[in-house]
Amino acid sequence: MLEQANRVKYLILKEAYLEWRNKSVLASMLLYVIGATFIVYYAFEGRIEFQSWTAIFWVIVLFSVINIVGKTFEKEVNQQYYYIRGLVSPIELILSKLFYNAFLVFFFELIVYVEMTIFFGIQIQDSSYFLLVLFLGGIGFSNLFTLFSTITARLNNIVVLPVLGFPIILPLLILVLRLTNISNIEVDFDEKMINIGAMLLLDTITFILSIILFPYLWSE
Amino acid sequence: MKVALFFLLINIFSIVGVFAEEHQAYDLLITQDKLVAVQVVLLIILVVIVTFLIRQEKQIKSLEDRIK
Amino acid sequence: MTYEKFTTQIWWKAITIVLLFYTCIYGFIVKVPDLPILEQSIRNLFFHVPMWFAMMLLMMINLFFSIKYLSSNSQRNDVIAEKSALIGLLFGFLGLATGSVWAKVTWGAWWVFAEVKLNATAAAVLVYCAYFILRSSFSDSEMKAKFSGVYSIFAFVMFMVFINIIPRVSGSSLHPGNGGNPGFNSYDLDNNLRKVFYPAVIAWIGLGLWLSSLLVRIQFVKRKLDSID
Repeated sequence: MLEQANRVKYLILKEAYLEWRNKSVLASMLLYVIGATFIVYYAFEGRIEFQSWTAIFWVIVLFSVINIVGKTFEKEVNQQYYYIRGLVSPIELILSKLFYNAFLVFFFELIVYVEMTIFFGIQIQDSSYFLLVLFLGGIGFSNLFTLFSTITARLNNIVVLPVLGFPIILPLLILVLRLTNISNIEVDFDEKMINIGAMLLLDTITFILSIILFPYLWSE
Repeated sequence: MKVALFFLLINIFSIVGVFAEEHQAYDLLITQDKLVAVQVVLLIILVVIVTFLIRQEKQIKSLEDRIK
Repeated sequence: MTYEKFTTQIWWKAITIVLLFYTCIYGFIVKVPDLPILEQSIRNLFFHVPMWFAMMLLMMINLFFSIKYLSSNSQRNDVIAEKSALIGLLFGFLGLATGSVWAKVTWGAWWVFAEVKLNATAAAVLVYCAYFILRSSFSDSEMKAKFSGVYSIFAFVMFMVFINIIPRVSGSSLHPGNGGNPGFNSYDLDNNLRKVFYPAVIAWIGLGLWLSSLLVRIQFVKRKLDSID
């Protein structure tokens, strides 16, 4: 058990190290996000309603998540398949990928949030609650798209990812939009926690499904 | 064949839609006795579908027997 | 009884035919309760609601055989899963079409945003369209079966979450039995309607099973002729 946890830790570190060494991918994603928000800023001429803010925010997040998570298994499936398969079990691999992607998605969500706040001013009243929403929502997004990125890596075709992912992500997106609304209005504590609970439930379901189903996709 | 069946089924339900539509032009279909007109068309389509299915069933049955 | 044995039997097809005619004949004759907005359009109950039941059942068959494929690796399971999803999708479209015309009469629009169930089912239809796009983009049949199997399991679970949890949380639906609207059992579905409704459900489910099983058997015969198995 401890050994496996260690292996997962090293896989995550390897991932981070590789990402850091090849900075161009990270930098291009950053620029993508910043560019997108800047375009929105110009399109709205600096003034925005809260509802549009929510929609724009999550659309930008969704599209950058697809680009970030979509190439998760590019290397593993094509060049290092036999090497990786000999070293670690599929469960360890998917665990490391899920953790790493959740972190990465959360990081980019934060960047979009900060950007949008700089451009449009403070839109969210309860920002600590919103950060929690961002964190849990990011986990859900990364769980879902990480699994599907295996499929697109096999197909060598990233265009399929939105086709597969968008209809399935809809429940998650509806919940996240609702939570964003809640973080901006006065509601009692119970109401807030019930919705967080639903979010947690969805995260758990996608997490368990990813772990159960990944070995089938990984084996040849 | 499959496509034909698809459109037949679609037909059934557009008819159901027509009689449900409370547009003036369809007013005559809303009354109880005019429902019969809708029903007759529906039944004709149903007969076509069912005979089609039975024919298919027979064909496949004979094919399966021959292969066995 | 296995799926293959069940689908070659005649008796349930006979029942399906009888009940289909019963639905289409008696469904128009039966005396319906005189409700304000619904009026005669309540007869759509015998067509619209069973479409969803048939779709759900076919998607469950798809789920069952997808799981079976992943655990057994027999291509025949994949054939059954695919064809069930195909006919399930057909019934999904029919459900949307009949629901849409009904909504136009009773709610006043073809498509209602406030209606969670409508949007959920539209999403489900999209999901299964994506399932077929996924299938068509693989050339290797084993990989196709494996990946689409995984996808449909995931899709089904998320679909269940969608129609069961999300409407509870966001709580806005115009359908009977949701968010303050009374359910069918309380006043809509009186005994006369029941007499046609339950047979109609069986009839449409039977039709769905029959159609999908015919497609499956055609595929099996083809595979035999090509001596794949």
